[in-house]
Amino acid sequence: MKVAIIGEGAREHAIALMLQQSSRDPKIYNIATYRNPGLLRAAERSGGKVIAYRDLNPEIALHIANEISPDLIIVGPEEYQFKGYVDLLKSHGFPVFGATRALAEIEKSKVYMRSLMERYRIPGRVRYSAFKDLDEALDHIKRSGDVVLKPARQAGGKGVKVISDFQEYLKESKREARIEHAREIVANIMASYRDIDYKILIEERLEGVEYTIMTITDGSTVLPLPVIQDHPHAFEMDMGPETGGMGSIQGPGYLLPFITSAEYEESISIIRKTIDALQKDVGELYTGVLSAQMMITSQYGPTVIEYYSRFGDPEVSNLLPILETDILELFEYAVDRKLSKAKIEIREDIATVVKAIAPRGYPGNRSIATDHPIKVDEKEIDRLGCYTLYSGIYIDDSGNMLTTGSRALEVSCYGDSIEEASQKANLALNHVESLDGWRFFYRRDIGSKTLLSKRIEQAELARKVYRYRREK
Amino acid sequence: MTGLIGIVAFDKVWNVGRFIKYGLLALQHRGKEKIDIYIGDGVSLKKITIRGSDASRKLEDLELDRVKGWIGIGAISSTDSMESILISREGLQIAIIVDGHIRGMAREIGDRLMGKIDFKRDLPELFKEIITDHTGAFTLLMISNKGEMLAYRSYPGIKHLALGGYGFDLAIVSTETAPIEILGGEVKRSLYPGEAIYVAQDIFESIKTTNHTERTVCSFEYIYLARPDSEMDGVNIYEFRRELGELLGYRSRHKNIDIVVGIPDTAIPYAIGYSNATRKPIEYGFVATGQKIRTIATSDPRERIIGIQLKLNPIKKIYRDRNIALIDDSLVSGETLRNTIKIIRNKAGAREIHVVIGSPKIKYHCPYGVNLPSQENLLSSKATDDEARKYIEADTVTWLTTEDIEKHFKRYNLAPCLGCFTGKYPLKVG
Repeated sequence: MKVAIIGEGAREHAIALMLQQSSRDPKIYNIATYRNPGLLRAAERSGGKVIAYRDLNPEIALHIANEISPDLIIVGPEEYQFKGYVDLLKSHGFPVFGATRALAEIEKSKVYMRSLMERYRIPGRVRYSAFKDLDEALDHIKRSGDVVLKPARQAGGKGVKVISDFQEYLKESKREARIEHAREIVANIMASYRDIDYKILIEERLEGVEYTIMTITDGSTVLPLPVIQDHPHAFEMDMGPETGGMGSIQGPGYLLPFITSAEYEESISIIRKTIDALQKDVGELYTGVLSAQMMITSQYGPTVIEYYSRFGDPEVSNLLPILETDILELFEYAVDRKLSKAKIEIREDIATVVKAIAPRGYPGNRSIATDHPIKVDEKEIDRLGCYTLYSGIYIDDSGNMLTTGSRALEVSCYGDSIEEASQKANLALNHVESLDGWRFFYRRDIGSKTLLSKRIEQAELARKVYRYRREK
Repeated sequence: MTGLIGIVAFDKVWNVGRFIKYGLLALQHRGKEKIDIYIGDGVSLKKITIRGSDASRKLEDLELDRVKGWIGIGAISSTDSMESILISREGLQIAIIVDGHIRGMAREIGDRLMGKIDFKRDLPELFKEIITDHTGAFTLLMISNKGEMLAYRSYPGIKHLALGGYGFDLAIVSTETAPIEILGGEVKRSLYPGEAIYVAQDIFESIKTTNHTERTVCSFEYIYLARPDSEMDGVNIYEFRRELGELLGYRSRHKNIDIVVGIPDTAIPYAIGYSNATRKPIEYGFVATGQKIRTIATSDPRERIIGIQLKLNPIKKIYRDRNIALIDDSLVSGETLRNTIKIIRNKAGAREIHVVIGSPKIKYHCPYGVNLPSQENLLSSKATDDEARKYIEADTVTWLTTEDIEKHFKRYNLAPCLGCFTGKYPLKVG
């Protein structure tokens, strides 16, 4: 059996490794824009290969697919879904796991997502305003206070600004920063996208603790995965700019210590309602992954922050040590619309921690973070029982591993507790070496007792308030 | 005494001027006659200096946001223990602020750094190399025109520095935690003794300059100096003081006390504790006029008397024919208490006045920059207990012992510097 994965990040590498664990030994093909060393090895070991084109587009992908003729195609990254890879491949008869362009709108347009939730009265929604015009947005921003500014479109996690605005004496400075940021969203982020009219989304700012729930669906059955928490701040102690995620924690079991089972169930019910509404709205069935980034907020309880039309990265890597179900089976059942027959089973006796390591310069100044040679002692990482997942690393023609400027790689480790898994991840990342002296950074504190107890405290605070409000 | 604040914005859309301003205003209880601010934009540094007894008032009126920049440091101080300097060489600028007790330290560290900079090695590496020669009780903030900040708390931690963040946007360091919260930020933790934090828009590093892990903290900071809404090394200052008040209350032998009154503002937590423990009602005893003046943080003696008198207008009615437990955090020169007792006895008609002090007898000067009066002006240093009692005209005076304070710190797993009580200092000075 042949499986093609489209995409080149750690997410796709994690999918490949999970496919390798399948009892059916699929041949793995990777269609990508560069040669990720992890995917390269996974593909070659399985008897497949990597086909990399810098200017990959749906037509090229179709052409490659025709040559390989895979039995299943997985489209990993959201941008490929937005560009219609799934639609084109499906229309040529390929079984594809991944959201079509219309369904992926739930991630691509943050405005569409909010309006969908509003129109279908789905719980967990927030107040928002969307703008196509900068001046109109600025006018609103001048009058608004405690808000979150977002580019109207998913832009690789870039451009979100959360500005708490409580202090009257700092209002002016915060207003200026908001205005400046709104200009930057329009000029630097949204300018490169021609597939959306809206420019800026302004949402009310929420307080609480964030978490991710990923689900697999065939349009009628929705199978939820365990709660995972990502850490978006670049630096220790939740300091620094927002990144695509510096690491994530999970387990043991389906919950995290700061989420109650009632909140987990409520969150899943929100996701189910969203899938129903989305399908009704678009008129298509959803085959693939829908991930919800949520927050236990003091305002509303479980609340939707964003939806992803694919596996979260780094969250998907947490599944590697725990997923007992054959993932290939899940994908196939989903594509065949027989997901009701499937069941997700995970190891509930262990916790997992994923940590990413990034070159200095990420995320704000990627140009200085690019083309640094890196060495990874995977044997030592293996010895710790951890998985190595390559992300922003490409192999050049001489076989060197060089950074792309993004998060370079992730390790996924497990242990009896989150803390133990975290310590293993720290040890594992000691075996990543910069060859030109360029600094790399990762977060030792992800999964630490200190951080975890802080989250528990924050969640309890939010929980007390939202429960009080619901009672009133 | 000095308060420091340092801010780095991770995004250039920010102007930190107003944040520095309100951060400093939140630290003015530590002194407010000398203000130095440096603001940078990744290209150059600008300096703002304010001097005079009304420096903090001038700061309030200053529109700091006109100075554009996303990185900055500032200090507000009453003493010579704060030094700052701006050094330029070959396109590199470094601004350094030191809150310490060694003269010329900012200049010396700046010169040594500049002497070593070869543009290949980075600031944290160089700093680590030179700082090992500097022991003492100090904290230091440094920014460069390249948009880097370095914040350092010397070993063994006599002076405090806290770290906080504001969302994805700001890193904040401050002598106390209260300013971080007043700026809408979240307090992360205290710096470890001997730890330097290095922050730029693309990096955040903790640098260890010593392998020692003990901590010795300034007891006067906990007893008097810090704001009660601050936390230092994990200790909530308000709670710390209230508990000491409780300890004094449990020990109290004055069965005939009618009311408990604390001298504002610092002694209020002690008075609450004392009242809790003795089950005697606490009364609101004094009303202040005008700006809050901290008598010890004012170096001008005349200012100080004015301060005492303005902040202590008694609500006369509560004192008449009552036996009072009058609580203060410390007995320094005795001036405040002498004045206060005179007012509440002569003008308000109190009967017995039992003074209860939330600290041991202060007998020695502080070599680390707490501007206590000189030894001959410390009441407990020159007078016996009874002479002190007579001087302030109280019926009784009760102090805590140094053992009490030591034990209290031990409950928080901290070792204090008790130099002003014992004359024994943990560090060589000079």
